[in-house]
Amino acid sequence: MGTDVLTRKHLALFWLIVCLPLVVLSGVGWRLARNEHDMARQRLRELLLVRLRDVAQVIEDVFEQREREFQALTDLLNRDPVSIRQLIRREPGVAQLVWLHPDGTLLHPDPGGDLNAAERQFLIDFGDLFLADELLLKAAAGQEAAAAPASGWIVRFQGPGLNLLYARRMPSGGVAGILMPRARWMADLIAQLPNTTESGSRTSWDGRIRLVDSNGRPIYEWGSFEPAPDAMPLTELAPEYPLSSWRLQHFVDDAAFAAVGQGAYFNLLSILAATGLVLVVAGAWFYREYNRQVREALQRVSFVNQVSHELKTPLTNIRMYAELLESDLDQTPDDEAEAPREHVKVIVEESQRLSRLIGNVLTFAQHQRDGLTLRRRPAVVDDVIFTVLQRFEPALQRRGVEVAFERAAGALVELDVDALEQVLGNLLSNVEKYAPSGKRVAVSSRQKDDYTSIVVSDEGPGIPARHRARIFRPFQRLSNHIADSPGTGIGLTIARQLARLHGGDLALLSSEGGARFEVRLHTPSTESEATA
Amino acid sequence: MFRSWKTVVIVALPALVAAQPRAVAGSATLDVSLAHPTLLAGGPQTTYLKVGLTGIMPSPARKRPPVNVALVLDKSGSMTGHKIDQAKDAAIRALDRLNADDIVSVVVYDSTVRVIVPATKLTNKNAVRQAIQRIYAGGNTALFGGVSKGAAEVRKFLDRNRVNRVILLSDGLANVGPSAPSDLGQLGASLMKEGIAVSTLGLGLDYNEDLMVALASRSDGNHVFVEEAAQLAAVFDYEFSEALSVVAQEVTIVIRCAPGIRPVRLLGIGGEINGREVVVQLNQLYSDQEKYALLEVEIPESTPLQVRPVADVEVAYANMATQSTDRMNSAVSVTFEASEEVVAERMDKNVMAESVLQIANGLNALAVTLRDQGKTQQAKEILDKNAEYLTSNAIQLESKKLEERASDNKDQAGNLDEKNWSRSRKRMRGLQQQDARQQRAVPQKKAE
Repeated sequence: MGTDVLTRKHLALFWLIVCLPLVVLSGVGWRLARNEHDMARQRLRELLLVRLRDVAQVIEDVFEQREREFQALTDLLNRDPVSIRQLIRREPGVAQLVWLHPDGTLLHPDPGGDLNAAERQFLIDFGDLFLADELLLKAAAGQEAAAAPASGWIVRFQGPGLNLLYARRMPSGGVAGILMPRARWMADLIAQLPNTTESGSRTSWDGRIRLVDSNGRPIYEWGSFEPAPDAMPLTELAPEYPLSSWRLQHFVDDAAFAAVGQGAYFNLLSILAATGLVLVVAGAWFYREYNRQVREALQRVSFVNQVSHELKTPLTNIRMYAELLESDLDQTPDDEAEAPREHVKVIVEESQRLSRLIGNVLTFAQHQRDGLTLRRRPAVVDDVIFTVLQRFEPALQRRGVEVAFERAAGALVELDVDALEQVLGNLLSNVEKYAPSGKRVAVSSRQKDDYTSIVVSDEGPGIPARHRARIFRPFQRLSNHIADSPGTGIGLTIARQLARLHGGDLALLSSEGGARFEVRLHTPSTESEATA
Repeated sequence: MFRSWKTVVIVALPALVAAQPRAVAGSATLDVSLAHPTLLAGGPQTTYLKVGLTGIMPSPARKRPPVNVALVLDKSGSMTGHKIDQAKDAAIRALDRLNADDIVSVVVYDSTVRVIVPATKLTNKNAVRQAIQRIYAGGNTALFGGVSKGAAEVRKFLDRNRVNRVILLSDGLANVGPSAPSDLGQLGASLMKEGIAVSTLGLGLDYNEDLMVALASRSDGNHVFVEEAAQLAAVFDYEFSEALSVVAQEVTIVIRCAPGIRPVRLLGIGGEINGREVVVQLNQLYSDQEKYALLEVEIPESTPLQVRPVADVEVAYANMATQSTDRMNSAVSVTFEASEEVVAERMDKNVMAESVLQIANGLNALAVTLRDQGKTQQAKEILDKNAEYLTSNAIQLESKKLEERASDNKDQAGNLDEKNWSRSRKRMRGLQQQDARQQRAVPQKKAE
């Protein structure tokens, strides 16, 4: 159950490791590809704009051509109404012709003369332009009113749309005006513009060019691509005056365009797929390997656990009999028993050490399996410390380490004595193992409110700053040389776990040389416990 | 372009008598007559002046003038299937009537325009056939663009020795490009100045007949309402027959009214009224067919036995056979009597019948306008009255045509309801155009 949760967590982690690079890579890649796509689109837009400019040029040429024709026409104009009417009947590009006297009088069509229906309608629709000569000249000036212009186009919205009048100030001072039939100049434009060619010569850039009027209504279009009714042009351009209110729009086949821009996306996709594959394969391999190691470790732990259980009983017996033997020897005369007494002492110490070791392993295993529980009972902290110190004293003495105990925790409190013994045992065992050169170990206790603090400091080599974080992790040993110092690497882990379980902590304090550990425990006094 | 053209002037003897003055020139006869050559003496009154031109059938030995035709075919989505197939067949069959002297171009349009056969001499009929065969339908209706491009193709070989014509087939509403009837009319008028006629064939019930009629009418082309695609072959055949039977082109009629005579309005074929001068232009005259301009004139107060000149008429046209400009002159005057019987007896029944036909035709158009405005009852009243008017005149003037129109008006009066209106309106517009411009009717296929 516990391992299942662990595995699931690791699986999630594994996927995260695989997916995160993919996500980051695809994010960055997509951005790049989109940039490229945008740039391609921009380049295309510029290209199409050039094409539209060519088309606009065709349109401008048509009007320039008309202007030249009209100039020639007005040059040769006979100004009598009969000739003018004949000219209108003959010229496909002329719907009506106006002749204005230099003093502004309208000579043709003469409002006071015999007007035909077309002339009457013309005066109704456009007469106002010619009744105010100034307006005419301004309009004829086109955009640049500054230079004295000879001729120009007047734009007038009338009827179904835009109407174009050509006006020219004649050398004589009079003004000639020509109204082009609206439909005719549009038809002439269309005649000059390209038509859709057969689909054989179609390229992906062919698209559709559309000429729309001031209201956005299509006038004429060409190109084999059929845009959707609501499609937006990729780019548009306004032709020059007099058609500046119209637009040339270029549509392109987004699908065909996308295919070209898609190159980048396709590359990105293949890179992502390849990377993803590599990551998944590598991840799967590492995951399997990791799982195998975890399984092996778990097997090892459970093996050690079982062995420890098996060892515990014989060891207890050995210890018990060794202690019995020790007390027996105490009763024999000194000189005969001196050597055996020393030997028994070693046996007792070593078996105590072994018990501690086994105790640690079992506590650790239990913590791993289903957590530890405390068994508190009233006790005095200093007494417990004293008992532990007493137990270590012979071994420490033999290594030349002097023990100083500064006791200040003499109150009767709720305490798990076994836990505290184990914590202190592990700390002192470390002193015994790593810091015999220090020659001195100082233990001091203190109590405040419901907390007890015990500081164990030695004068050994201490713990390098860079290892400070690691020492509480399981199976961490600062040196892996077995010869250096024996140990399982779980002592401090268990000590800290126990201290935390006891409502406190185990911390490494900073010190100048030597290691300095502080054990803090939550130790409510028995009285307050009783009253609570 | 026209400089090589020689000018032949034929002056008909001015016939200042009341009898029908008739002038004959190269390829047409001119007939100028009044509905009432004799009027009742007294106050001002109006009568009708007819200027009739009849194309003379050329001798069979003579080669017909070559044509320069642009076929402009609608291939929008609505043409899919049966319609486009019939149109293709009809067009291909029509090609058989042309030869290597003729110029043909084929333009198709949907949302855009394709020139599938650029204007070229018809030396390779097969290539044209194949190009037509490949047409498939789909898309919108860029009618204006199609006509513009078709006209541009004709313009490439524009020649007054040829019959220059655009034949437009459409079955739908023009939805790309200008589509106002006034715009299309203007385009037609402008093309007519170049000698290009546009014949419009409206197929089915969904095209805009006002637009199609305006385009045909102002360019002096034909308009035909083709109800069923199956009739297309007959209609194409008719249209090509018309184009091949042209004997004169660029016809200008100038009527100069005598002092005191006031031109009131032109009935049927329109024109310009500039004071006392009236100008009517026609794109062409067909062999063995009369086209006439009908002018309502106001005659001032007069006394019995007085003879008053009414108008001088001058006609100029391009003779297709001799490739020359022919001119004809004629004049007409009116006499006055005190007796109503004499006036009635001398009345020209033909001119009167034509006048009645045109007046009724104008009222028929008014009925359509009223029906368009939702005034169905008023439209019906006009049509009923029109039928009565035509019937009484048919009897009095012994006119079969008026009788026919009387029954047409009666039928139309009964078809103003929503269900029949679309078809009926197209028929009415078609008939109005046919009568106004004296277009020959499409020969009906005999029932099998």
